[in-house]
Amino acid sequence: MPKPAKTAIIVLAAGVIALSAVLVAFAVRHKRSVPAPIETQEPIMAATPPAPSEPAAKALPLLPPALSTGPRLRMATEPAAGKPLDETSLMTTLHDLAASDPPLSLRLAKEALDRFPDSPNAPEFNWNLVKALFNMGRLEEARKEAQVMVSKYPGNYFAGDVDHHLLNHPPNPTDIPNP
Amino acid sequence: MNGTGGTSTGGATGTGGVKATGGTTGTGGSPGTGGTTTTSPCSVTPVSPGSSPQAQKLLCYLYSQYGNHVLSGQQESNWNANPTDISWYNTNIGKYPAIDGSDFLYTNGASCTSVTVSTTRAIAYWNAGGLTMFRYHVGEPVAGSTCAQDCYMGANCAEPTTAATSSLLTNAITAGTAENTAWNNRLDYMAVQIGAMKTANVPIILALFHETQSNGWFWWAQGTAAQFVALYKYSFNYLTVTKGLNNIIWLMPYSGTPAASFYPGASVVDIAGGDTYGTNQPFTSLYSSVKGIAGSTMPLALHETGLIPTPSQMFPTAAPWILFNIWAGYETSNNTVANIKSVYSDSHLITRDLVPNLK
Repeated sequence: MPKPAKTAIIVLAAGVIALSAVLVAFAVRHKRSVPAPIETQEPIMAATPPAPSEPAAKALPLLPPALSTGPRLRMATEPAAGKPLDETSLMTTLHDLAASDPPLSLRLAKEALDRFPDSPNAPEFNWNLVKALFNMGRLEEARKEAQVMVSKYPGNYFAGDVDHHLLNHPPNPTDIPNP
Repeated sequence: MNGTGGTSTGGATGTGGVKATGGTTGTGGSPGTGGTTTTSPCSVTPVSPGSSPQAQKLLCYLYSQYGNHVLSGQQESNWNANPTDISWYNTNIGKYPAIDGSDFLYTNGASCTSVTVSTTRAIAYWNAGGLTMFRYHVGEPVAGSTCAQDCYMGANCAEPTTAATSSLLTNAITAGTAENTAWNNRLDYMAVQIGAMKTANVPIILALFHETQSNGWFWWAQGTAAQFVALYKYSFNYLTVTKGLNNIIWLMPYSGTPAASFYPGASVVDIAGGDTYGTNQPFTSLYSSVKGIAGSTMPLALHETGLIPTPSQMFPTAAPWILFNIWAGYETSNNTVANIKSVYSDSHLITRDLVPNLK
């Protein structure tokens, strides 16, 4: 075969391959933009901040100026352009915080209870609220909250936990008059 | 555990044991007669270096019963010099629990270098055929404190605020610090008690860092998981190596929400467990959680509970705890005599009269 013809064939083949690649890329992109089925949309919708008019969607109160600039605080309360955390993220954040920042845990637990009072997670949010008070040394407030929790969630594990540890726990040796 | 192998065979309540009741599927009937005082060897040994024969027998026994029987336990109101929780069973149920649960927290007037009433009672319970399990609601080892200042929860304690806990957890195991001296003082106090039991050839199940979980109620679980693991290992080494205590069965006592990151590892844990004040007995999800961390062969204990679990619902696979331990006072406040009687008549249940001779 003459050399020019061979070159033309090679160029033509390369063009076909390139065109195919473009078409495949377009198809993939197009496929990704197709709306997901309803059942996979639901969790995404649940994670979207509810409309401001919804009573259960109260936004977190404004943070004091001194706190609002903290990078971790901003991450915990303003995950995306000031939108409040969804329920799952609130719980995850509380778990991650553990005992490291009781004031922030208290705020998040309060917010969670305000926004999701009927959630199956409400007892655990309430536990975090009680525990944050306890960790801050606000023992009497913790005990009062524990009493409310016990009456509100009878038989629940988290209610039983605060009942035992704050309302029915053994005395300190120093509290025993004549040991 | 040390060694290899899973659930061992030839346990103490098998045929030929001291108080055999028909082996692993025993009926829970009256004690057998004519047995010997030996326990068959098994493939597991306690993690304490040079473990005592009694500790070895106890761990083998726990392994032999795991999955087919549950040992009954009752925590005593150790803040009273003469607690009545255990005797209540004899009066109302007609049997004693297999395990006497105690707490090092209460010295009942003894000094930090003296043997306490609780220790004396534990030794007596062993001599009567039972087992003993201790925990310690130990106060924060703040500088200058000893066991006499233990104050683990309340407005007048150094705790429960977590603000200073992180540095305290670090200092407690850092030589040369006042907090380290204070923590060693607590361990020394424990060593006096456990040492007295060692002298009496009594093995002890020790749930040292009671109710461990992330954001736990007590100071040892209010730092990071790494800090907890370091504290656990330091204490393990201090009691076993420095103090030479070889009569301990080490129980890793999780709370209701166990976290793998807080697990110190099988090299320093004989058995693990969880505790709960929930009502959904037999607490299957808690059991599964602990099993997911400690594995499928290590016996798992319901080391503290408000509600007695029902053995018929535990076995064979739902939540076959190796033992349960009802908290002090809860035998009457959270349970009924009828329910406890029912559980105590279950063929899966081990009461004190069915514990073999592990001496």
